[in-house]
Amino acid sequence: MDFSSATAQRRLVIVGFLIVPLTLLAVFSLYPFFQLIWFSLTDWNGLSPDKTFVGLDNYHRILIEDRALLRPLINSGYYFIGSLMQLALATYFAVILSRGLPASNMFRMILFLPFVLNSVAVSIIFRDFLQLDGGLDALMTLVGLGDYTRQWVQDPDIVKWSLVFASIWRYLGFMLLITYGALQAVPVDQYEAARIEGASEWQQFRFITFPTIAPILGLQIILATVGSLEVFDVPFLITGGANGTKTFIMATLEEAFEFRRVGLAAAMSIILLSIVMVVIVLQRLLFQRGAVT
Amino acid sequence: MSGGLQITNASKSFGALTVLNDISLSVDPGGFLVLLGESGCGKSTLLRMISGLEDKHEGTIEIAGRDVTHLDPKDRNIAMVFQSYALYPHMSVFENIAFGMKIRRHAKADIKAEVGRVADILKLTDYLHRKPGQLSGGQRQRVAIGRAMVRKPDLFLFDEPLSNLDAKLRAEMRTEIKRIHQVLGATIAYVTHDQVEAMTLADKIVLLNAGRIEQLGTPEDLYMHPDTLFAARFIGSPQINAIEVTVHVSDDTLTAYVGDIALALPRNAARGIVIHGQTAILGVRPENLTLSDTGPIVTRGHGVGLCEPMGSETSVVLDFAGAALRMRVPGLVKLSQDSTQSVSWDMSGCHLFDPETGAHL
Repeated sequence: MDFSSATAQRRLVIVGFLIVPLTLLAVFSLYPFFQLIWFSLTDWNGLSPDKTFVGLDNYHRILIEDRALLRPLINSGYYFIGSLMQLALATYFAVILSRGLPASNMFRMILFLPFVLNSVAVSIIFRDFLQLDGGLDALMTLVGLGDYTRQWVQDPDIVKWSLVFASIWRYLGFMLLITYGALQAVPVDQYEAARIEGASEWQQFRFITFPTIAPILGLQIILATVGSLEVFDVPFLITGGANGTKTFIMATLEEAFEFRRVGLAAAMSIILLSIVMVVIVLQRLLFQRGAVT
Repeated sequence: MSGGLQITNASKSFGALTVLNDISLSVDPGGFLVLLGESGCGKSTLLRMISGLEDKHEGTIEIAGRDVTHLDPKDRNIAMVFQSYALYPHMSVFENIAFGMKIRRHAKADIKAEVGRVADILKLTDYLHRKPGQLSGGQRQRVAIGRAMVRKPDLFLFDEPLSNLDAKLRAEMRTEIKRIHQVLGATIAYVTHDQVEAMTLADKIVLLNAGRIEQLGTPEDLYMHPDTLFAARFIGSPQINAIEVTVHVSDDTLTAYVGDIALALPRNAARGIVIHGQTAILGVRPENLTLSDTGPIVTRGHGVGLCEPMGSETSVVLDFAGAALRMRVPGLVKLSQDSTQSVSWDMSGCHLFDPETGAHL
């Protein structure tokens, strides 16, 4: 091959730059993915050198015989509702911060800070904060709301919302940052034109801000949906899945590493992946219809 | 004074920086005021003060006889066309034009009728369902004007509306704006840095320089009777010739000397008293010079510096005692760089300026 021509050199550069990421993708994503599919068709226990091909037995068991395995998916509903609240809050704060209020940089940093904190540290803080007579109870007593304290983590009716609250606190900053970035793309003179035309602050949001950032909000909803199906760290570290707070990922890990049913867990992972794919396709179809051209 | 504009002693500062200083002016109802000046002279700030987008300033602003100094932009009954058009990209042309009426809760039938009327004037009827992204620059500009027209405001504000268009479209839109002004009989305040726009559109020009009014008057006033050297230089293309001279006064006649070349001046070249031997800047418009060796005042032996054919005329720069002498010669003329030329001077429209202050003598 002649490397002296410009075309050959360009090809060499392209191949040279692609080979590393493609190798990493193949080794750490594609290969494990196909492995996972293979495991889901076996009865492997994760340790034994032998695995027996069982066909679609694992899928049959999850979807038909033992539907209790799917029950933790219901918990994702709480987190999904939480993430919608989180998106509304993030948009609200982003709009306020983008108005250039005094100290808005400081507030932006404060709101973003939880996202960069270590997940384990945050969960431990919340575990103590939500304990009986913990930080939240102390705070409520201090401001005269002592009669309204609850068993935030122990009461099965409340604990899910407590965890959702911790999750919102942790991920609000990330959503805020994306929405804030989208808001920066709206030209100031559009707001000025609207002000002259008589639009109130709310009308400016409704007719100018919202349509402009709608595609980004759509993307955030996709991320939130996927995120709520895959919740793991916050409930795992705060309750360990007690009081009905187990999520689907936690159940999958439990099957794989506690009950030594890696084949079944692999099938659960593939089912979760399929649900996520369906959600993404549905939402893309919905949002593309309303997207700004 | 319904529909007019009156600004009294307006000043504006950003921190320690004063961008506008004691501006007072008025526009009659139906008048076309052009705020002209270089970048950073404060003309856009003045327009934004009139619109109410820029608050916290000194002085008062009256629109249609109503003091609006402390009113919100929406309560001033004005409409503004932005340099960037500021169209809403997700709305159709119809929705863009209708936006103001929709916000003010007009009946749907009224909105439809009014948008239809405006679209008809602006020749936008066929584009009402398109999004701004599907329109050309000129069409977008017309939508922005339509959005202003539909409001029937007391005052239209234009902030450099043509500066994003190419030269041909700019000339077309200029004519269009003039036509709209005549059709609507509206009062307009228009910001531009383009003297051609100012000269062709304005009833009255405010020439701003470093936050102050340099000159206020009709386009003819600014061109024929500039108050300062800055005004004389700003208006007119090619730029006025500004030649440093020594003025000799004898028996009520003025003569300007450039070295030993004598140029007899009419008495009205200066408005006031000129002292014998005073140094001054002589302003002569390029069109008052002709390539000829006959006439009352002729200078000879000018080297050719530059010769730019423009089509209908040729822009020529000659050497005059080491300085550039700009001329406009009718038709396409080719002058050899090695040749020397004779120039006939028509001094009837010349001006003398103070070299220190730039004021007309």
